Parts: sequence; C-alpha cells; structure tokens
Amino acid sequence: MSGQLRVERPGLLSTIQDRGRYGLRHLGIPWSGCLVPGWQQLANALVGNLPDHSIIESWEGGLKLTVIDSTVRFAVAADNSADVQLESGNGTTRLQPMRSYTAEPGDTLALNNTGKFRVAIIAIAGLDIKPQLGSTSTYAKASLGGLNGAPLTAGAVLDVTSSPSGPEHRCTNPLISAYEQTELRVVIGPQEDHFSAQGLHNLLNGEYTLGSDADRMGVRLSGPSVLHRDDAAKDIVSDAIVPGSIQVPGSGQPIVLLSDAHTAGGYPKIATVISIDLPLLGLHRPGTTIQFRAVTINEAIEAVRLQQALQLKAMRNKQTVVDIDYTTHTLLSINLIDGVTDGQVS
Amino acid sequence: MSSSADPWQPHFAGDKCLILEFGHTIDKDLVDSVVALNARISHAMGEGQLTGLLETVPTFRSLALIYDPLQIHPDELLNQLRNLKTTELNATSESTREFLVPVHYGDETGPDLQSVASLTNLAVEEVVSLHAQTRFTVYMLGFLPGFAFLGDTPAELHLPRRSEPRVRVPAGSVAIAKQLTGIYPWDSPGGWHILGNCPVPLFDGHLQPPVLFAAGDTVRFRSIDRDEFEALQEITALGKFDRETLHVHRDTSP
Repeated sequence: MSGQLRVERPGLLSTIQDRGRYGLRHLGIPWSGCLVPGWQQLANALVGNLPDHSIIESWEGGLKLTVIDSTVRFAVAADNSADVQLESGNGTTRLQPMRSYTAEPGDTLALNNTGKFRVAIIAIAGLDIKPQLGSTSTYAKASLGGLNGAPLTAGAVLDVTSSPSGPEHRCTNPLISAYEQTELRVVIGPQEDHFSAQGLHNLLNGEYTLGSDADRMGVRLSGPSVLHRDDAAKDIVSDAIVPGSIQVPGSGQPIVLLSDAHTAGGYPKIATVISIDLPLLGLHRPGTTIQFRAVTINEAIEAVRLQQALQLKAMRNKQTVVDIDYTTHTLLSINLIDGVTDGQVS
Repeated sequence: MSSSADPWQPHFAGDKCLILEFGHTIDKDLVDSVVALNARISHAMGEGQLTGLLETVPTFRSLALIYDPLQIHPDELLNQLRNLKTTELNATSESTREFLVPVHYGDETGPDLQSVASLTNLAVEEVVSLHAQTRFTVYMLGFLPGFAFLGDTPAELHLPRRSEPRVRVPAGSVAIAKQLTGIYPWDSPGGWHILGNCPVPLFDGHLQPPVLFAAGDTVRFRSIDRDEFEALQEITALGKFDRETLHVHRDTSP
C-alpha cells in the first residue's frame, strides 16, 4: 500500500531530516539531521516508524500538506501551544501534539504556527524519501538529501509507503521541561587557553541574547564580551568544529553551531554545548536570554545517558488512545472528522 | 588524561568529540602525523576495534574523534588508542594516491593572475609554471563540502589574503593565500587570489565518496589552454566526465 501527500505551502523553512549524514565530516560534509532528535524519535514512535526515520522539520510553521490518496498517519511533536489543524470536508479540528492521527484523501494538515518554540516536527508513517550518501537529511548548500537537495516547495509530492492500521497512540513529552529552561550546559574547551580569565568569567556568568541571525548552521549571541587573551589569540589554524562548538570571532560575541555546522574553522572555541542541550538553541526564538553553565565531561556524559533512559521510557510507555482519556470537548471535536480513527473504536 | 608519551594533546569538544592536537601551525610534518594516526585508527576500526568511535576528522593540526558517549567514555577511548602503539607513528607515512588536475590559468577564470604577478615581481608565465610544477599535499578538506586545502604553494607566491574579499568566487576556482592553495567546489564568498579555474567537478553528491580527494593525497595541476578548458566544461555539462581519469597511476616498471 502506498499514498502521497502534496505540499500546499512550505512555510518559512521546512526540510526533510533524519538522524544525519555521518561518516563524511572528513570530506567537509556536515552531519545535518533533525535539530530536536528527541522529538523526532517520539513522533516517529507514535506513528510506528523506527526512531530515526525521516521527518519534516518546520521552522515557525506555515506548512500545509494535503493527502492525495490512501490514508496517512502522522504525529506532530511540538509545544502544546502549537496551532495544528486538520481540515476535512466536515470542518476543521485542532489537533494535539504528541499524538497520532489518521487523515483521509482530501484532508489537509495545517501547521499554522509552532507555538512557544520555533521548531515543530511532523512524523508521517512510512514517509519514503530516497537517501543520498546514507541520509535523507536536507543540506541545501551542497544540494544533498530531501527532495532534490532542497527545502520543501509548494507542489512537491511526498511518497508514503505504509498505510495505517491499529489504534492511535499518544505519549507524554518528557523533554518539554528540559526544553523550557534557558540554561545550557557546556564542557570547557578545546581552545579555552585563547581566552582571558575575564572572557571565560563573562561567558559563564553573563546573559546572552539569541540573535535573529539564526539558522540550521548556527545562532549568533550577544552579551558580555568573551575576551580573547590577546590579538594573536583571535585566530587559530583551522581545527575541527562540531555542532555545539562555541566559536568566538574577534568581536567577542559568541556563535553556537548547530546541525548544519561546517566541519572546520579558524575561530577559537571556548567551550562546547553538550549534545542534549543543543535543541534549546534551535527551539528558542530570537530575543530569548540564555546562560551557560560549565560541567565536567563526566557530568555531561551522565546527563546524556540519563536523558536517553527517560526518552526510551517515554517511547516504551506510549499509550493507546482510548476515549476515556479525553474531555467531552476534545472528543466531540475529534469525532467531527470523518476518518480519524480514535483508539479501539476502529 | 594526558600522557607525556603521546604525540598529541587531548582536548574535549563536548560530549561526543575528542580533539587530539598535534600542534598549532600549518606544515607538512604535522599533516603527515595526523594522516598517519588517522590511517592507523581507520585500520583498527576496520578490524572491529575501538567500538563506539564513529568517525574521525583530520585537520591541519589535529585529529577529531567523534564517539558515541552511550557506548564509550573518552578516557577509555584514549586508553584503547594508546594500546594501538600510536606513539610509534612514522611521520613520513605517505599517501599512495596522486591526482593531476586540469586548470586554465588567467583571463576571466583567473582574475587575480595579473595582480599576483605584479605583487610578486614575477612574469605571469612564471607564476603559472611555479604553481603548476608544484607537488601539493591535500592538507585537509573543510570550510565548504569538498573544499581542498593544499600545501605548500611555492614561497615566491606567498601573499596575504586580498584586502577586499569577493562576494562570489565561482565554483572550480583555484586560488592562493599565504602558503595554501584551495579549490572551490562551490560558488562561495572568498578572499583568496584566484589564479585559474578547474573545469571538472571535484564534488559529486551522487558518487560515493562524493569528494575525489582525501587528506594526505598528492595533487599536481596541469595548465590547459582555452580550447581544452571549454571542451572539458562541455563534457562535464553532459555528465560524461569520468573523474577517475584524474587519478595518476604511478608507473611501477623499472
């Protein structure tokens, strides 16, 4: 069985991503991959995909998808305030994040806005994207992945290879509280010796505002100057960069690199944001104020392992959606839509 | 976690990356050490050792080790590396691959050739022959996907970067700055002096690997005339260029 979805509107920036394109960094090819891997994995689990399956990552919403044929199961991972609607012949229903739904031919899924955070993830059961160099992740600068190496465009058609069966699922979002915080943990280094004691003090005690100059490659911050040791310390012979690297150009204003980070660069890096806190920088909007806190490598690894355990628990504990879990209001609105199979009713 | 016997200094780059730093300069000996350690590690990974190490990234002066913190602690990774006897690395290890890359020097494909000649007090022909007679080493790839940093450019041609970077350096441009030569696989902003253009693709996202070069490879340039440049452009546009033809198979006969 197979089906198709048509992109009616792509929104600001919607790209296909999976876990990323690994093993090619030595050739200068970034990992890319979903900015919020935890949400990717939860949303995929809800629709019966493997955790790292391709998803649509949408910045600020504005995305509209219409089911062309067959039925399509999907789930949106976002903050609860995200405005997600299903438009069908019977009217429009507001959908909940972190829950699967099944849409019929002619139905339109509208991610009108992403709510409190600037990114939302849409998982679609059996979304079938051809991988390029081992990954479906879109990296437009080298025309890799996605559909023809580019973000989604109006009129593009997405293939879906599985048709939904069985009940819908929902799960708690154990990561929401983690993502609501604004303190990012960092491991100091690798070039901390290029900075003055005052520079490091400023980084760890100052407040930094996320700039509007932000994309999948990185986010510019503004705040107390992260001072270099001297003028000669403002450049290094190019060294490896990873997502999370905090590079500091001569201006003293840090730039934190994200999934599409280039692989090497000549600015010294004072510290690295730990992997599980990196989604915060993709999620929070420009103008948000954040702080950095130094942790040891052992504390960082322990935190990563703990979050992985929480995540697995949430995925294991995903629940079948049954009527009794819903308020009358929600039930009524869900039942307005023809074809949304709700739990054991189907 | 540092040991004086190591030829590198380890640095953490977050919870997934360990940087083994060999030095702070750009020179062939450092690159040779990085490439030799990388080869030793690749070999070990191929034999199923170093579980949890995912990939490595060689640069001018360091080797980055990307690992999965759920599978291995970086201290344990360092211990395992020391057991590979990497301290006995031979810094003269040599890549076995060599490439001969066509470049059309000058006219609109090399807008800085004239100014490089006047800044270095050389004739244009001398600049071209100095550059095309050099055996370059691929020091690293990065900055852009597939961008190759080659060294060393002959000392007579060393110039600082242009004071006015260009907004658009065309794909294929071969350019110099200080002791380095670079080949741009993509249109990009850039501040290097453009000597010429390579008409054949050095990055192809439909091939595996997508990039022709790897760190440690040897590259020489072959000066081609306008006719050959245009002919190669045409073959490339038709998708019929076979990049294997750039590979120099060394004559091993006596």
